[in-house]
Amino acid sequence: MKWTATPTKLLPLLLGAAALLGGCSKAPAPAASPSAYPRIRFKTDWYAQAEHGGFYQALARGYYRDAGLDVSIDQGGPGALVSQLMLAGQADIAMGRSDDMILWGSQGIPFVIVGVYMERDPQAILVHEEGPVRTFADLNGRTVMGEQGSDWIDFLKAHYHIDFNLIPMNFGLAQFMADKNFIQQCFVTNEPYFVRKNGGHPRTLLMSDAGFNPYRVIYTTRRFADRYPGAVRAFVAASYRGWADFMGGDPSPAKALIAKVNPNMTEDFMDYSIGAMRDYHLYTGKAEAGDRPGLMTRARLEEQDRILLDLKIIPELIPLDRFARFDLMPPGFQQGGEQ
Amino acid sequence: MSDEAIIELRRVRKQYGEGPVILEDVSLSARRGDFVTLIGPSGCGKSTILRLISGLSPVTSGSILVDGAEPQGAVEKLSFVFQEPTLLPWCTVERNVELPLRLHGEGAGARREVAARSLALVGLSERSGYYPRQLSGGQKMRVSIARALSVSPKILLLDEPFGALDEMTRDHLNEELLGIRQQLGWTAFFVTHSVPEAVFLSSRIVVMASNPGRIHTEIPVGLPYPRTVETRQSRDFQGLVAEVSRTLRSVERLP
Amino acid sequence: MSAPRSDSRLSVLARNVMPALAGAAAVLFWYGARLLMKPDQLFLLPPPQAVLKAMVEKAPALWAATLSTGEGALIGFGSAVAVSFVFALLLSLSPIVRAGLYPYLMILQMVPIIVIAPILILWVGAGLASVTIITFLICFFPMVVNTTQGLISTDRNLVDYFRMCRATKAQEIFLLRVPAAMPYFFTGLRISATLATIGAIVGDVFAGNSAGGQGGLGYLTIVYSARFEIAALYATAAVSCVLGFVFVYVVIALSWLALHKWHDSFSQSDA
Repeated sequence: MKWTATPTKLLPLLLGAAALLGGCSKAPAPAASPSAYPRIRFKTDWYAQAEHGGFYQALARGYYRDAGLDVSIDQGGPGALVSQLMLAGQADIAMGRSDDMILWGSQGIPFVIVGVYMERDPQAILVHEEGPVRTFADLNGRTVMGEQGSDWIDFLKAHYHIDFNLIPMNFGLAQFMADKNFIQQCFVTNEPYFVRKNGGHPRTLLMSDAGFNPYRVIYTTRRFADRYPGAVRAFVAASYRGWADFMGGDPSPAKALIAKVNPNMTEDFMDYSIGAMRDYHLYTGKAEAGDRPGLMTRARLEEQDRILLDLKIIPELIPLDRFARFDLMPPGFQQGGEQ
Repeated sequence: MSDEAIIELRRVRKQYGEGPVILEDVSLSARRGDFVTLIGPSGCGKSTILRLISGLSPVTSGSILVDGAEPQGAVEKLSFVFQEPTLLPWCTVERNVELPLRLHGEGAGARREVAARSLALVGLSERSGYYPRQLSGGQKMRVSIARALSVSPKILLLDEPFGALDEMTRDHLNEELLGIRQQLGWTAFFVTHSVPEAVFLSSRIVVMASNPGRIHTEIPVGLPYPRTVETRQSRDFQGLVAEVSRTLRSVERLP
Repeated sequence: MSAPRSDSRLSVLARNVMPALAGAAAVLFWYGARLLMKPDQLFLLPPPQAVLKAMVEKAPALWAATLSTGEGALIGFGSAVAVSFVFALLLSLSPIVRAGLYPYLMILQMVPIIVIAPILILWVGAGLASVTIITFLICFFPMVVNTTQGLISTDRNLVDYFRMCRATKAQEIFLLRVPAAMPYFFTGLRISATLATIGAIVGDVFAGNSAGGQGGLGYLTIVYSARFEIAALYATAAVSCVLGFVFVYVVIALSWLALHKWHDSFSQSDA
């Protein structure tokens, strides 16, 4: 099951502070490779899955190599504190969500967005077709299994003027399958597959459709971006190439690589995820709204900034340049302009 | 004092299962008012005899009569003083002395009265509110004796009660014990390793042998009561001590 | 029998000054650690004043959460004490019963909360009931084990004496075994008191309910970490420690009341 990218995993952070003191002085600089660029360790947010497809495609097809990069993709997983690793210098580039970047920025944590790999996020609410919930507004007065403190949940309550109760998320489906009225958060690319496989009829309400619409981003530490802008630029460009090929061409190289590094992955499930990404326009976004694969606009980032401010989750608007760099994306991917 | 036996052991044999024989063919009697001391080498079964009389253990064969009844039915007539004071550490001295009365269901008022009297007998009235850990070894033993006396026993069984104390305290307590006996008149069965103590206290000394435990010799002690510090200096006393010691040594040399 | 005069003066000094010194040293270490950290990582260890500021700002939320967690901890702990005592009495009666039940008690103790929590939610719903049950489970086992041990470890001589006085079984249990077991009981109580707040907080994380402001300290921990409010996270941790300390301190006080007059674990005050 999917572990959402919001770092609830900062929980062990308190214990990690002491451990970190041991590690902070020996954070290694990325080893120099024969080319001009440093070796890049790219950290994903979960075990290898189709939602990481473009990156694995780039690796499998040799796009990183072609760009002069030596890239390794390290799998994340439950409890893998990606942000921690990044700051300790044990991972160089990672994947996340743009609203998290704003939150980090408000706390003075030095990460920057360097690229966008999905225009819309797979986060959604999962209910049974036979259940009473049809729209977000129907959640009013009900109980939802979701991650406490999630900003998008606060958004739903404020936006629809509803209230509902949250019980702790355990990322399983046992309770959902046992109760036709059960409601929980999910990823559209993931849980519905298993529900159907076990004979259920799932219905999903996509967070993006409600108006909370973050990007799925590639990010790194400000330090790394300042030190190796060429490498980062090359990485983002090669990743974009990989994603275009994965979603527009033949995804089998990525699928084979994913299956190789994640033995629990099945072809059937990957096909489902890819299908969901298409059906919900996660990669391409909504063309009528001006979205395009890989595009990042100031307008959308500012909108999210404002939403978080209205929700009182951040104390003030965060200037975009504190958490986003447009100059490392391939030309034409910053708010308009042709490829 | 009447001539009839208040305690009578007839051909008592004690064996734990198929194990070694602790006591073999022990016959012994005590008259009312006797002070009988059992003395002998380790393993001769002297403590076991006390346990059999008190009913803590059953005999394997033979019989024991305590004031005409079986030991099991003689609870109210017996009191036992152990080698360790065995006081309840969470109770005050007063509560400890009251304990056997409490277990028998006596009311609080009666208990308090009896406990006060017992404590007075052993000279510990001012310490009635103390806890055992605040007392010396000798004081704890006195409390144990006061507790034993609180049920007004006819028979007092004492198993090396002063063994852990120093010489002077032991002598003091010996004298006190006889003083109390004079007031209350119970019959005593006493076990000790100390020959002078045995001679000082007893009207009769039973020397036992071991392997198996059995009675070897009975030595009457004719010294007059009340016995005092001066008694210890007398020639008769010294002579008896020598005689008992000789007998003991000869018993120890037996196979 | 009394403690020497010079010792007691030293111990007063030790008891009051040393902790203060240790606390000051800890704060110094805190600042010093920040000096050693790379600038990127500073946000992980906010300075003490930031934590204090967060404590003040979030005081209403922290207070409400403390009450909620405290309630779960208290009920869970209290019921664990009562039930474990009864259990221990039963276990102390027969070595056969003990041999039969101990392995299962051990196994039950091993089941991790992560596994139990969803099952509890299915049965009793998320919220106070689940948190209380989780706290109960965490507190129950140390208490049963310690109290049982105490009840069966009574001095052989005392048992003999009671038997000699032909005491009834009930008298033997309530006048002898139970008082003798008190030091063991309080040891178990102290261990469980430490675990009670941890249990309630963990229970809150996995089976708590945020409805109507019921959320406890576990819930706040999740929310603050989701929002990256690190200083608030530290503040929550500090408050949790204080709550735990309150529990333990109450138990220590009770233990002193029950034992100080007669038990060797407390130094003597008077000859």
